Amino acid sequence: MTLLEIEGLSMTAGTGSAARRLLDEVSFAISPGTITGVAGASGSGKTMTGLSVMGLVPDGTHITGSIRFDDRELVGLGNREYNGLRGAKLAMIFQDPAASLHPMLSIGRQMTDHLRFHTGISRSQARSRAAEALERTRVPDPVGALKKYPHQFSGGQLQRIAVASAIVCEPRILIADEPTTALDVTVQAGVLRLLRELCDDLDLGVLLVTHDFGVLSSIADDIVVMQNGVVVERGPREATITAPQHAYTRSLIESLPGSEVLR
Amino acid sequence: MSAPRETRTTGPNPLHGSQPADGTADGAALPGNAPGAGADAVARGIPRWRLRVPTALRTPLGIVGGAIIAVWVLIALFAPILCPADPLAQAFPRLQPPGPGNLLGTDELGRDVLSRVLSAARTTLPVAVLVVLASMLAGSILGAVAGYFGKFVDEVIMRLADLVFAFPTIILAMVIAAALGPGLKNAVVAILLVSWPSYARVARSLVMSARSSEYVVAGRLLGFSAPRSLAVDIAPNVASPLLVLGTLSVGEAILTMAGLSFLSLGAVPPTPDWGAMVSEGVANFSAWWIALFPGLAILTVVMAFNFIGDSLRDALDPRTARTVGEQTS
Amino acid sequence: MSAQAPAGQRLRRAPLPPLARYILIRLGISALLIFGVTVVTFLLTNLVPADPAQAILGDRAAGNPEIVERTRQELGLDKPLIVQYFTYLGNLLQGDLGVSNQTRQPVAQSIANVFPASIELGLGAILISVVLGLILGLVSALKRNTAVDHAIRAISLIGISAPTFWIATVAYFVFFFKLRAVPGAGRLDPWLQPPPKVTGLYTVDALAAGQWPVFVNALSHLVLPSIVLSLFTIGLLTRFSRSSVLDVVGLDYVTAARAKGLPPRTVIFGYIFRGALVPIITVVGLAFGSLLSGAVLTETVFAWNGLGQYAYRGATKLDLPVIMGVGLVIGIVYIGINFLVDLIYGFIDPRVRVR
Repeated sequence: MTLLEIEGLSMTAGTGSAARRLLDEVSFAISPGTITGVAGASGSGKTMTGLSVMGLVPDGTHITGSIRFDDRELVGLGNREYNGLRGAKLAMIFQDPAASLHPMLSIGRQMTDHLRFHTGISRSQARSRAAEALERTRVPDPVGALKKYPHQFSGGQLQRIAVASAIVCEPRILIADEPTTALDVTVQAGVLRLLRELCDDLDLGVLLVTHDFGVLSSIADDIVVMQNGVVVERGPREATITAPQHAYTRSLIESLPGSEVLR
Repeated sequence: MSAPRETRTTGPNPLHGSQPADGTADGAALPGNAPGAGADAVARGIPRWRLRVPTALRTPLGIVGGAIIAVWVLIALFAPILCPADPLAQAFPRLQPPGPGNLLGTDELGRDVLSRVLSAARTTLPVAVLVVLASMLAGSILGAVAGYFGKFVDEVIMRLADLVFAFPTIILAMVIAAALGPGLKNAVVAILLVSWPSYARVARSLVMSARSSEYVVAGRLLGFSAPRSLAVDIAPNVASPLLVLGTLSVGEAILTMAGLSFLSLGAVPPTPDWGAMVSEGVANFSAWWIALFPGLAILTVVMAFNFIGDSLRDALDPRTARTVGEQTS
Repeated sequence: MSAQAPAGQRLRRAPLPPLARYILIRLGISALLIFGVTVVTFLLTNLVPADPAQAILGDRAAGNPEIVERTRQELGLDKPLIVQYFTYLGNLLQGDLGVSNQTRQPVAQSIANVFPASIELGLGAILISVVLGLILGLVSALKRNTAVDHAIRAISLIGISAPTFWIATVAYFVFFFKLRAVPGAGRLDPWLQPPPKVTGLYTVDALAAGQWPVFVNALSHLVLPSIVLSLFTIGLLTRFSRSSVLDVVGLDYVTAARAKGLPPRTVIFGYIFRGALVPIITVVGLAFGSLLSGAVLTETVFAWNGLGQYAYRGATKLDLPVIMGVGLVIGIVYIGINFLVDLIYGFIDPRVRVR
């Protein structure tokens, strides 16, 4: 069963002779309860793939192809209908939690505004659901945290808060764009473990975008490798790591520390 | 705070190789987008910060601004030929409306308004540019000294700057000009005194960030003296934002000067002066032409300088532009 | 920033809450600046003129050496500079700003009389500029590189390029002399009595006294001068809010807000605008300074009997005590406004408010 199916997704920037292809016929699928890892160097189109699913492509770009979510076509969907899905069914977390949370709004406000918009529940109900979500992502003192502001937390905790904010509406798909790149090495593993846990417990379909192949090889179920906007390889984790088909994938695997041991 | 982008690929000293050559955007300005292109420029003896200027001005606003200023410069140069009458001669009937005899009318003393507007450009333009250059020089040196030496020197200079910022510009200029007495020279001194701190602030922050960069530290380790370090290693890297700020400030200087002469604290009559002419117009409301045309002259010149300044600022890298922007509108 | 527990402990141990500390520091800086401003006016009044006694006496008496000498003694010019300064400061603290050379009226009293008129004009203008400046800046940034944006940028550039006193002259000529669309000069039609003085602002006082026709008349007199005065600051605020909104729209937290499916209105006002607000508020303080300068240059045109007209008369007659008094008062008001701006800044930015 697939939850999200991307087929022949292409993205162009600019028009006429100046047009550039950012994505070229990208296809892969995400099932509930699995983590699909997208790997690739910067500029390979992995972030654009994530933003396309959210319908948040940059101005001046144009996408064709198909993104099907729960039997709904997302490409070409109107902004109003899309807003009903974003945050509610499709959630996203970003690379730097310190930048993706508004510095002047309290955590409580940022965790409840979309919850209340999507569900229409009362402020106090929303706050208690937000506190539950914070508890789930293991932020200490969830109720107290709601009253605080982003600058009062460490990077690792902010990313947990961002994850809590993303899952508070109980979405089906979570797009995580380099969620550990900006974090201390010591807290990266914790955040990854949290993603794995939420994926299993909530039956989430997770799209994990990263340039770090090591991250994928440890937690992804399926791996998609992209290069210059093209999917060069996709498949289950073991198969991809033990028997890579494409030269670029092989070079990624070989660059992993301790890859000699793997052989 | 970063050094201006266009200087990053090539430094003024042989140690610039230690700088990260991450200036991908430099390609727009440097021919060929090759690291060697900047070095060619050095070989040809062109200072690097100039490379970008012509490109930066090739915006619609920059071109319009440049054209307007070119026209005014020509007017200033050839005013004696262009003026239909002696700007000081009270040779016509008083308060004549614009017509075939006097294209822009006459003032209350029977002088030709067109001739007065044109010849006022001869004092306004050079004085404005001079006062900006002087305050840019003074402010940059003070700011650079403050940023380079820090501590006590920094405190004294920057607290003085704060004090100037405690007043609205024209108010402080008015107070100083009044104490010195009316006259163009005193107005210039007043504007100089109120405008140096903007440059000092920008120069200080640029120098402070340049001071700790590797090529400056390396120069110091090689035994360069402080003045040499400032002049050779730092100055070329902080010059272009200061020049942009200077361009942006010419308009402001003209406005302040016009304000002072409107308050009778500028050029002494009967010297033709735009601000003073508007002031005469206020006294003769129904003779609208006395105030209208000199005001239009101020507007076009100031606007042209703002157009150019804007285009130049857009060409600076964003963080430097921010420092410059904080000092102007 | 570490975990919350240590932060909490630090909070408990701290002698003052962060906001109080912040306010005290800003207050101290403002006090120092006011002290500096008095030094500046003192030096300009007592040192810079070739001979202050002659400057104060004016042309008529300056020719007589005996009177000059007597005045020097009266003024304490024979005493050491530092003594002179403290005498000056003592006088200031008692509300003594000297006497006008022209009218022989105490400067402090005259300023007190005309000050409310300028406040009324300044408030009108700042209201117009903040509302229009922020809206235009926001629209311009959100519609970046469209015709709307280009139009707004061009207009705001003209706004900051035109000399205010000239705009005032032209506007007065067109809207009063030609179109008769606004009432003439002054704050009130001459046949109307000013409302009983409470604040000195005619509009407010008229409302307080329930004098509806007076209020309407005062307001109609206020409209043109405030619009003219606000043109420069509208340009200033438009340009600045455009660039600070542009700085914010590309940030991750805006994309994150969109990714939460929030409606555009919430994203724009709740996230983008709030993020852009802090730098904008700082510029509102600067804008007030431009308004004060603008008032000095425009009130005369509208025969608006405020601080500006008083300063203009002082300047054209080279009435030094008047000019210094106005400079001092405007300097102090400006410092006060920037202190208020710092306060607002402290209240809206949690990074200052809570640590």
